[in-house]
Amino acid sequence: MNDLELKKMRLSDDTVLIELGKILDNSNAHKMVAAINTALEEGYKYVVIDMSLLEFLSSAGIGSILGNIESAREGAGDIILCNASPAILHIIDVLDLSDYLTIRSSREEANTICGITS
Amino acid sequence: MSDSEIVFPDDISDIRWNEFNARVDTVLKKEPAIITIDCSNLVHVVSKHIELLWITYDSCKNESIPLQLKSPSRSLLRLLKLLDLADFFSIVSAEAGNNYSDHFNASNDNTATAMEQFCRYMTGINVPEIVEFELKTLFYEVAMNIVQHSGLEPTDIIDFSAKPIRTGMMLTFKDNGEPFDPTDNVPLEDLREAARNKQQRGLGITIINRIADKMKHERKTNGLNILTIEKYWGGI
Repeated sequence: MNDLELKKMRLSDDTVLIELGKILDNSNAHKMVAAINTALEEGYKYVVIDMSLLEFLSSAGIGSILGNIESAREGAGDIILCNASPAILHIIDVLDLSDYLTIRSSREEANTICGITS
Repeated sequence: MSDSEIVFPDDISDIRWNEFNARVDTVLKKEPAIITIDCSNLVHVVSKHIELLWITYDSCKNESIPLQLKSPSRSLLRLLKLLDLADFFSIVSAEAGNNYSDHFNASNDNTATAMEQFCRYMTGINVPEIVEFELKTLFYEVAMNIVQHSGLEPTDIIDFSAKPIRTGMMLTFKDNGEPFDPTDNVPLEDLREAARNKQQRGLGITIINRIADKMKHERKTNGLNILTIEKYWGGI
């Protein structure tokens, strides 16, 4: 997987998973917006974003997620971040978004919110 | 750079491999007290880099000449540790108090490359990891604001310098574009409210204002913009 790539896969009828590469910044944030928009338009309620490879998150990257949270929640779903590193969590914290965003430490915990049991 | 310092190549093609080995042989023949491998150019570490470092270590050991790595990136250090090779190499960092300067073209790609170079400098002077991440983010957001809002062409240059100060670091950005003063743009107070209103813009300014401890923007009569930012954490 290259640094700027996003990988999308269906987890259930309600849930889609997006795996991020090392970077979510101004150069690929538009792809994130498109991926989330498409998922919500296709009827998925939950978007799980796996950040285990993510090393850098710019304001554009945060914006690509933030701009769609309310749309997901209006549809009785959510956007769930998982496996974020301490550095990424720190930037989210600097922006006072830690309590607003749904953040879990593992994909399993994220799946539980989406009603997926392995 | 001293006679016994050799730049380690990022490009690990056969030509560069041979060039590097030839340089090592030349330096070894002079029987220096120590050989320093400057790793500051090494961006993406692959197994061939490790192999070449190991061959170099072996060559130096055979001649009983100590080897040290200068300014290795965190990823190189992590990889050496993972392979249980870290203890074979002495590591030397750029000394605290060394200033840093760079200039880069006003484009997305060049900003990203310049950011990584700045990170290597910070690693080299032992900036704490979380502070390094904050400064990396600050660098990116300021540089991208200049790229996106100052009307500069991709061939135009942004000048950057960093200077350790007693309580932290001072960063300076200079450009000749339209003035864009992050101290003049109102940051978002409540990002949750912004999210509820589905607002995606303004996050960069907010990040800059929340991470920086002090900012000053100047517009010189010759059209030069100078943005000076200070970040405090107790210093290096």
